[in-house]
Amino acid sequence: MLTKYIFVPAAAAFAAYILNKKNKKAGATITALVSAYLLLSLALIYGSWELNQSFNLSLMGYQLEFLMALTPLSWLFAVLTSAISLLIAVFSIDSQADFKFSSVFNLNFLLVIGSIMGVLFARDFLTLFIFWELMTWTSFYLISSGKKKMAGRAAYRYLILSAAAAYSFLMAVIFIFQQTGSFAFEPAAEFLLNNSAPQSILLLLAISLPFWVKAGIFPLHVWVKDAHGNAPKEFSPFLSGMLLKVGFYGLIVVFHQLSFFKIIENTIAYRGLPLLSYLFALLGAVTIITGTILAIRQEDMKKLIAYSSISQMGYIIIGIAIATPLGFSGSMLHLMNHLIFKSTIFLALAAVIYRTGTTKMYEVGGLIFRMPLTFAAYLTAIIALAGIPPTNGFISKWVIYQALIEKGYLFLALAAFFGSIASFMYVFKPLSTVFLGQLKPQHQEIKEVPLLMKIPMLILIGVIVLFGVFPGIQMNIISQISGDLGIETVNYSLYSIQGAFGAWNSLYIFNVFAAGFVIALLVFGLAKKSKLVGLLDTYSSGEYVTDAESYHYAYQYYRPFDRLFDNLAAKSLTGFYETLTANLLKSGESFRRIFAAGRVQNYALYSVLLFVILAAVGWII
Amino acid sequence: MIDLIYKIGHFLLITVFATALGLLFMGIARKIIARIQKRYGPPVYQPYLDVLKLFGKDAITHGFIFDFGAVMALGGVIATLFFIPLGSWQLYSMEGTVLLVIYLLAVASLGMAMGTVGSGNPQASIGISRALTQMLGYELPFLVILFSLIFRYQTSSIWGLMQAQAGSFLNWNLFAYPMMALVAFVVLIGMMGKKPFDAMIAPSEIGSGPVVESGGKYLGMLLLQKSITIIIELALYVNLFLGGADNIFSFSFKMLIVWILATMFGSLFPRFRIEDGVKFFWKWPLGIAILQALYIII
Amino acid sequence: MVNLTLIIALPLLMAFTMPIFKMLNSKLPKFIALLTTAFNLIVLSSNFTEIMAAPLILELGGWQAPFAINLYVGPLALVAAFLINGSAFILSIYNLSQDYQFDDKFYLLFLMITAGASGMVMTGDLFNLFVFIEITSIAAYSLTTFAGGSSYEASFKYLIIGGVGSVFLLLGIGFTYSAVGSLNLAEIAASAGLINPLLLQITALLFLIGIGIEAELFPLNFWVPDIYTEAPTAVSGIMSGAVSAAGIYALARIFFTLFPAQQFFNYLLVIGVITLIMGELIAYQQENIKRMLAYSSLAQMGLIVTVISLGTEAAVKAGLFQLINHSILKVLLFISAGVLISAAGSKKIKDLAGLGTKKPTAAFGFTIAAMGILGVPFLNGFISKFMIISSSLNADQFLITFLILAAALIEIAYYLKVVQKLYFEDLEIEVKNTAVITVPVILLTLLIIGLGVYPQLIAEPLEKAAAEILNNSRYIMTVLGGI
Repeated sequence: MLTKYIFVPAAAAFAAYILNKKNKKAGATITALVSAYLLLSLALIYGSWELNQSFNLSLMGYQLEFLMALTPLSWLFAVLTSAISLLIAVFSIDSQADFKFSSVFNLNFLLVIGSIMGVLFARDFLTLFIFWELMTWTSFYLISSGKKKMAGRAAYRYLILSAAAAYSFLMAVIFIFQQTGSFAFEPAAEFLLNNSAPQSILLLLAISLPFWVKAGIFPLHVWVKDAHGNAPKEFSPFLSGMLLKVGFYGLIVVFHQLSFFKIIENTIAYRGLPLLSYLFALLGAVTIITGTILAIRQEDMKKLIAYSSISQMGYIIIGIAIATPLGFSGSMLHLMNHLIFKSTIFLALAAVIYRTGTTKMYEVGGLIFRMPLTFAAYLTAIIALAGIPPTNGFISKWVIYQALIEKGYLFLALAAFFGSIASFMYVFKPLSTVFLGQLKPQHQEIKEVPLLMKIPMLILIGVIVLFGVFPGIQMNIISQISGDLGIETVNYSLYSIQGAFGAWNSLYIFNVFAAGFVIALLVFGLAKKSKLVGLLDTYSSGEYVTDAESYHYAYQYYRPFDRLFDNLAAKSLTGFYETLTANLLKSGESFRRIFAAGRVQNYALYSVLLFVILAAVGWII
Repeated sequence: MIDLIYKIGHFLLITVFATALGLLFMGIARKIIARIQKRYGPPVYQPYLDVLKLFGKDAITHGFIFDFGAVMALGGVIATLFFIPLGSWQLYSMEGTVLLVIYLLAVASLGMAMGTVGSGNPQASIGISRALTQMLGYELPFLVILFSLIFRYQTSSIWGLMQAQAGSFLNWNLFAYPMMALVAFVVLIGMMGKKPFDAMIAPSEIGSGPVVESGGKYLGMLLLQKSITIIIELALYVNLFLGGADNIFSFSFKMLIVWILATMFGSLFPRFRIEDGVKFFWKWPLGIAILQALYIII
Repeated sequence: MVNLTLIIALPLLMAFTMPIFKMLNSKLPKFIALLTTAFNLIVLSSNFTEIMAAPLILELGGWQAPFAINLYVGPLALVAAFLINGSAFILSIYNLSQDYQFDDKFYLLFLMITAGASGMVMTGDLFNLFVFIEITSIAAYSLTTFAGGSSYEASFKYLIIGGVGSVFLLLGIGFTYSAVGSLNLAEIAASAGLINPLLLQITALLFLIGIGIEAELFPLNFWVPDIYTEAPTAVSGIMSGAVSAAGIYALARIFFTLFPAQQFFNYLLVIGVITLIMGELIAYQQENIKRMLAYSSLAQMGLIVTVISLGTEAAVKAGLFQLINHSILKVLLFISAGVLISAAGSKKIKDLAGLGTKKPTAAFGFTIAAMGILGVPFLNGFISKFMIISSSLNADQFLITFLILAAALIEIAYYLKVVQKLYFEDLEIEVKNTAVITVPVILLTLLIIGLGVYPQLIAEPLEKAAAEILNNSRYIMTVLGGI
């Protein structure tokens, strides 16, 4: 019964809203319970790929069929959604204790989960559209409920962009409906395959537009940073982790199940790859570079990580676009891994925000002394983000590199390398400015976060390392998905993956790493014990240091680097969109001034004028 | 079991050897620079004395992360050493070692970065922020070079790349792709933090940057780390461009030549500002590397 | 099966006896209005099944058509009448908590406008149509002024334009009569082929202008923002929910039944699209919430006219459903806005910030109605939007579809601004006491969600109504069939 995945969260949403009004922790608890339930039932139906359901509805003279089915791809995404919601919900039980909008938050959060399930299990466009819209609207409300002043505007832009894309989707889909008489995927795929290629390509581009927006690929990435930065701190992990990925789900469906790749197979190719695919990959490359450069400039911790998310999405689209077995597996791995480590980062940052009340990195510092577990979670996650072994982040990046080098895509590889190396810079910045450095006087007494907030972070740290050493676990489901979509799979075993130029054996690497560490520890331990001194007691060329506040290097951490790109960053894409729409909408004001100026004589005149004009038109034609 | 013990022993031997050789190289460098500057300079075995002295001195620490960082730095480079072929000594051959080595070095730098910034001294933070920025600068051409080599020889293990240059010395990549070798040499200078790319240390400007708070055993460990890093980087260069070597002695000899050249080169220049350094790396080295890469691919 | 003429007769009777009721008890007029509209709804429901089977002809005075005036109530008229009287009913509930100066006169006029609008949709005679239009308009002119202040100016402007419209209408009626010799709609439809084509064109144009003013089409609709903004909330509601619906009905009658010609459908298409786009663009700029809703209303009228003039059965059904949804949603929007305005003491949107917490029912009403208009799934607007796009694509009108969707995007923009202000900003002003609108909100919300989840409820009336309007020969047959 696939519909229960939608209706249980939906019903629970209203229950959560009502109960949360009585007790502030009830909403999050219900969310946690529902997510756990979803996760468990999904685990039980793993492998039943024939599961499907359909509804027939005769509406206003249209024969509509609503189809739902379980595919490996949807199963994976559903599991990821419920898992991350569970962790976030557990986290938010404490962190939302005094959040004004906690009832609305949990209401909408559960509705988002339910709508995502609807999107994932849909096998026809109408169902997909309905749940996609619901998902967009509920996430809109979620983002709006953030505490910052810009939250409303950010959510608003997100919705408008999504809605515009969704309308293009609707137009294309209804057109196909009229040609094939059904909204289901299979008939549509056949129709598109047999139709004239340019028209099919146009239709598919229109259909894929909302997915591009959701995935945050250049040039549609403009909503991501503000949405992340202003959303409630518990929702940012979900935004980055899952909502962006649902866009990729849609793109994979369009590319593989709606035959997009088959259709463009015979178009002009660049080094064996159809030009359009290469273009997509190139967009991904630009996304990586833009996201990375802008991330380095940020002073707000959430916005920095938001830009980082944008750049990681670039990696994923590159892998999907080049469509080789390695590329696809690499992207899927990165998709899962990104979810895991990004959520960890956001949860760690949420913990910091919870305790200190600020998101600006230069307003905090030295928190490692007061919040060591949060630091450990953040450290592990950024090691994964930078792609350093033995974490899972390294493996997915490695596979993508293999895919790119195998085919010799120089510029794509260059962008990927750039993103990777530069990511060291931007992940180190919060580490250094938030956790290391000088502890500010007002933060001397803050404590580590409560237990319920520690548990999700601990679990995620474990998963990062686990998948880093045993990537085979992830590859199991990925090879199922590859098989289902008709892509060749990559060879792998529990702890190794076969790349283009040899295999990767994580267990071995992990052991070596541990050995090196042990030796270093021995060297350290055998030497004399050292004396512990305070943080302010440092070398300062003889000056007296009393003020921790000004002794903390945090503001404009990478000024030299930023200087290089000041000119480029000044030309903002957001600004472009803003000016475009502002000008368009100003025309309303001009209309009003011309026509509706308030003089009734003019109005009366219009009647006569209309008559004359239409009569003239009628006479001429 | 015996095999495992044998391997561990082998590993420890390599570590000790690399450390010793690295320290010796550091001494040689100091001598050469001194002679260039018309001084006598300290004896070549001076770094050994330095290390012994440091480990005997008291030190201060600023907390757990300071200790952890130092251990992680040293541990990271020791782990990296495992994968570099030194002459005929190859502990473990595996595909992907080239990229792996780059990243494991990153672990080490991350450790050092974390530890030193955790000292609370802003000069350390400034040094690290500069170091990371510069790393972005030189890694990019270097990765393009690696890309071309991997694509050309269809293997991503260092051993494999070394083997591909077997035969006469004319097979060396130095002669096959001279421009690439030149670019790699410049990158090497950047990696090792020699002038003109030493703004991150900048002794007179930011109090030696990251190491400002490290004393005693910490400085000793960082010194050991530096020595092993030198060996790793030189070994990488020799393996990739000078065809490696059959035995450890000719290998060390080749490393020495490269080291002397690098030192001499590095003593000539004043310091680049960080953004100038990055811009420099992205202009000629990157440009040449890209051209070379395109030439290989097409 | 109660006689349908009561729908017009009873309100008129009650209207003119209002002063007596007022004398008996000052609260009585409100309840009389409420009861009358409720009664109308009951009468309509009792005739429902019969009309679905075959349109009802009621001959007044016992004389047969085409000699006498007859009422023609088909499925379309029934739907329209439901909308009119339904809006009036809901607004009467809203009015229960309002106090107007000169109560009795207000309700007199309120019942008159209801009767007038109902008459417009039920009549089968051209001059009768004109009379009812006049009744409606005059009632509207006067009702507007009950708000005092600048409502006099608004009313005056409407008066002038309405007067111009009446001239055009009378001219048209005159020409028609001289050409056909009868004022009965069916007879005119039957003889339309015999009229001189040039005269036909001129006459149709005259009607276009005359009715277009009532149907709020560009460029004849600039009275709308002023009236809707300045008039009391109930009046804005009835204008938006009932009178405009009647206007659309009249327009449809004239251009589908009397003078069907592709040329006029094209004119209507273009005018409709321009109304839509301009309305949305101007609405976006508004700071005054009622003015924003006014422009939104007239844009929706443009949309409905555009869709209906596509001419296919699917398109007409879509347009009709949109009309139904529009009435429901706009009434809800206006009463919610009314409460919010009196709570904040100002009509400016930025003064409404944060009212979601203090006035949850009104804020919720506004939000759900806004989401309905924007086409959120599971609400009625989604279904009608879907139908509109579907029928428009079916007719190969890609540009029109694109423009409709672009306008929808702009709609999202300005409605969302308000919703966000209501809930996610801080309360800054003092909240005053206001009307209680729980019952209307609940009723309308149920309707909105019900139609959204199970639109089959009205599938049959819609189908029949669409079929009816497209089939003018059947109209003629039904009315004149006896002869």
